[in-house]
Amino acid sequence: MRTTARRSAALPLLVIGGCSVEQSALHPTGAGAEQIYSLFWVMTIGGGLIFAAVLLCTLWAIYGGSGIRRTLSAEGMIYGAGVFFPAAVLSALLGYGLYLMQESAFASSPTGAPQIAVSGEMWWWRVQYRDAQGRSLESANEVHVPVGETVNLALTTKDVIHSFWAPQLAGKLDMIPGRTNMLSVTATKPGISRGQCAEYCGGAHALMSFVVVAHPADEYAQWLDGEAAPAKAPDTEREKLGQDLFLRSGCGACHAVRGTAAAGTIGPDLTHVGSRKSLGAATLNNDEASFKRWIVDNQHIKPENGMPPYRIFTEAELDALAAYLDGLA
Amino acid sequence: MRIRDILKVDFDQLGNEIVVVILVLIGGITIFVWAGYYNVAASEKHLGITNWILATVRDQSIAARSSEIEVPDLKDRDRIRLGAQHYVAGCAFCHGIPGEPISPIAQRMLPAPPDLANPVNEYDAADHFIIIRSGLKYTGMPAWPGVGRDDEVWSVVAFVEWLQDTGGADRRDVIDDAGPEQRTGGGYTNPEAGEAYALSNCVRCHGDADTAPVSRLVPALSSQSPDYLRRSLQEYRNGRRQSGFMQPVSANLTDGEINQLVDYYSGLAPVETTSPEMPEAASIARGRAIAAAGIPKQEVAPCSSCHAGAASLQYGIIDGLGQRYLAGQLDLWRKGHRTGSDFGIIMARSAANMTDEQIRDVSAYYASLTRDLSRFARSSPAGATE
Repeated sequence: MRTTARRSAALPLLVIGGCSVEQSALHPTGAGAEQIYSLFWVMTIGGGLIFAAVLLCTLWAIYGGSGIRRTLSAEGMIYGAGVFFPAAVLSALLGYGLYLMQESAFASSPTGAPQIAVSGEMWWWRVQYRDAQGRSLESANEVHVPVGETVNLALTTKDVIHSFWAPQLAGKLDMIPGRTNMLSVTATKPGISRGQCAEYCGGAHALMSFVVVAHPADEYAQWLDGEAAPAKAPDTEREKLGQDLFLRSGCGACHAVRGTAAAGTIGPDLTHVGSRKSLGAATLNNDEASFKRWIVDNQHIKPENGMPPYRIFTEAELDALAAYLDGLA
Repeated sequence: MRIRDILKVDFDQLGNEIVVVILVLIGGITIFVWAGYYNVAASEKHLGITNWILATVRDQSIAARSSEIEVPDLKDRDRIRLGAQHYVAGCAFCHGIPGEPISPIAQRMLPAPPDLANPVNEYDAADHFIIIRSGLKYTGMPAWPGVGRDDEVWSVVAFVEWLQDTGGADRRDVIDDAGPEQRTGGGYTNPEAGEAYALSNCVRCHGDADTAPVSRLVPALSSQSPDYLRRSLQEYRNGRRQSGFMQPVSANLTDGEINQLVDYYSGLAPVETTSPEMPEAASIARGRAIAAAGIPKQEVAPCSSCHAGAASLQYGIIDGLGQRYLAGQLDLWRKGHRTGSDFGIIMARSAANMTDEQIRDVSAYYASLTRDLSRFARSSPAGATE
């Protein structure tokens, strides 16, 4: 009884959840997404009209007189509504679809546009930025783009097939082993939205999300400068102890913190991890408690992810580590 | 459909005699068991028929399980010498050793343990492996105490094969040279009785201030990180790290004894081994690259992140450990047999994707290093969680 009650209570929640704006293709904030949004309405309204017309003809044939039935089954009607009309409509839609694909294809975007390389790895996103000056830097699980400027995304995968989908920004594109797929995106409004791997890629596929941040054009350069800078030195005693633990416990084997000896490339770059909107590829909030949880219990939070559980620290040591990582703004 | 239709037996045709026979049998067996008529005493020999059934079932069972076993090189001196030390301490009481007869206590077991020093048995190496690893039901033969440690079992098999082949003729090189008589725990200051016993168990295989380990399969403990040594003994004691050699000798260690042993070994200078390994320079060079940079494509972390420089001393010091020992441990990690401890599970992640060749190379590199004693100036920040 109670379960049923709980289920029926959960149902409206699901529906409301579907209306959440941050990962909704119905609230486009990018050029590609806006075109898809238009296509969606053209398809929905056009399909609705045709469906209504078919229903009308059906009712007409059932309840109308024999004259009407004769009209409906006339040769002209069969060829007109049954062959030419669908052929014309489908050809037009195909043309429209090809045009949209062309629009977001790499070839149409200007050379010299900022380039971001995104690599899907079970189950997170390695993000590398290269700006016009040829400066290159690595981050993870967040894609920052300037508003109004076309950005080329070079999509690759390290392991299995993933699919990069930021519904508010653009359409989805698969990441296929051995290939580099190009996707051009142009944000039209500043703001934060969410993306998700859209191709089943293993157990933690559902926990492979990311955050898209569209900066006003003038702020983007500033953000990129900040991201390119080496990590902030620890301020407090606790953060210093945390950094010492980080370096002496071998965290740098897999994680880089630019400006320190930690230069690992296997896991996400943590140089500015404290400034990210989330942890664990949009799985946890970014706060000290989440860092602690992730370090000790990451195999329960995201089963079979690449990081082993570090249960070797005392509570005080964990606090210090979390303070250090959270402070890497 | 009724039972009689299925069985096509007409119960009416069977006489009451059969029913009576069955009831008498059931009653007889019940009385036989409950009255304690059967004598389970080890002093009473089995009937000839019982012996035949037990032996046939046993041998068929062993043969069925040993047929697929791949036998490694058993002429390997490192295996034989290591196996010898375990045999002397763990097996000789029941199975004898040249020059030392089987204990009269063990001789009164039923079945009496076979005298392996004067061997006449039809088992081959794979059979011995199955027997030593898995033990034998209804005999005194225990299974191997370290789960997943087939590598250790093969050492004992190698020694048993040596015994079978030579009859233990030249026991000096295999048993005595390496044995406790030569290894007195030099440099250990005034051990108390319990400590002396514990120490004698260590030096048998690991050597002491003057002698190197008995076999290249055994790690040298001299100048090892005290934090790591302490943690290892604790993990053997509580079974989080599995080893048929180490668990029996650690099971009864007190914290005090562990501290004494840790102080002793971590304070010793490295002893030069009499049989150094000679890996190729190219292999060492490949290993050096893995140690420094890892193998990012295979998600193998660089060893040096944890096993060099200022890293926590909870992580073992592997500079100068033997190639065979290191490669053996990496293989255990790769197979998931060293994941019982919170530290082991970290290492398992890196070892998981290594190839045989990469394991050989990186072990060769670390074996070629000399241990840097300056690392002992500090103690570890990461506390043990035991």
